[in-house]
Amino acid sequence: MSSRNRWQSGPLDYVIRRWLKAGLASKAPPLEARSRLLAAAAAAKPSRPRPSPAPRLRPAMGLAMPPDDWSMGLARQAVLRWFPAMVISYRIGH
Amino acid sequence: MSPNVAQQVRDRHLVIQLQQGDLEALGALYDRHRQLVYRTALGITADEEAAADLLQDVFLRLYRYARRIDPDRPFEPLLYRVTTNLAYTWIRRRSVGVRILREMGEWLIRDRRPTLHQMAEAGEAWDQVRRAISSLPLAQRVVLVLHYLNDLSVSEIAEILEVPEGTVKSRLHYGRRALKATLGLGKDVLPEAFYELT
Repeated sequence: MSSRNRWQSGPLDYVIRRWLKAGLASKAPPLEARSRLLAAAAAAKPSRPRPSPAPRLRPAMGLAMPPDDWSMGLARQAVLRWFPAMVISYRIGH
Repeated sequence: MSPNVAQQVRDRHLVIQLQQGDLEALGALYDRHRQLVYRTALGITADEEAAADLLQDVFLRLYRYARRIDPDRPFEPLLYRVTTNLAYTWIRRRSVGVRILREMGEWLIRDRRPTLHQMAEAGEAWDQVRRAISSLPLAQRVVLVLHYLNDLSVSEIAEILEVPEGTVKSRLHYGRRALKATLGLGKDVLPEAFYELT
């Protein structure tokens, strides 16, 4: 056999093929495997394309939950610290 | 229309139904391809329980990710790819300790099995296959199973495993050589088989 086709071997190929097929010929999956699969598939939803995170946040934004005083105080302090001129001009204007 | 083409058309139709979440299509695909998947998984893992689990995992995966399947491409190569990938993962995850414990358990209960001495020829053949296959390195095992059990060509195996054809040929060569040594296939066996073939 030349080195070019050393992966091919007529008689040996035949023997191995027959041997392997004979060994596995009697093997079949258990009968309950089908119903088990369908039950598992019914429980598992097919994967869907992932939506962007924005729509998921939208319902939460619509909740009628006003921020508490402590949060509002923090926000006010932050605004005064970062944009004092804007807040002052707003107060003068109104 | 040739039977092969007719089968591909039927598979395509079922895959499209599967993409719509149709469980009956999943059942139909399972009925058509269960033997292929089960025997391939069994040939690679040499473990009947694992093959049954992998069979379920393969079809569940197809169901879950049905939208990613291109219905216009042949279905069987995809099945082989998913089966071999999951079998690879199963073998890698399987710890040596578990295997030793299982083999020891099998050895301990071997003499207590009432039907062992009446084991059918097919059962003995499987036992021989199981032992021989288990002794091969995983990469060679996969190639041998795809080539000899499923009659896939070198180029088809290369495409499924996403490796060069030369790699498949090399694994086939060394796997066959190892198998020949394991099974004790000497020159006295081969000529007889050759004459039987011709």
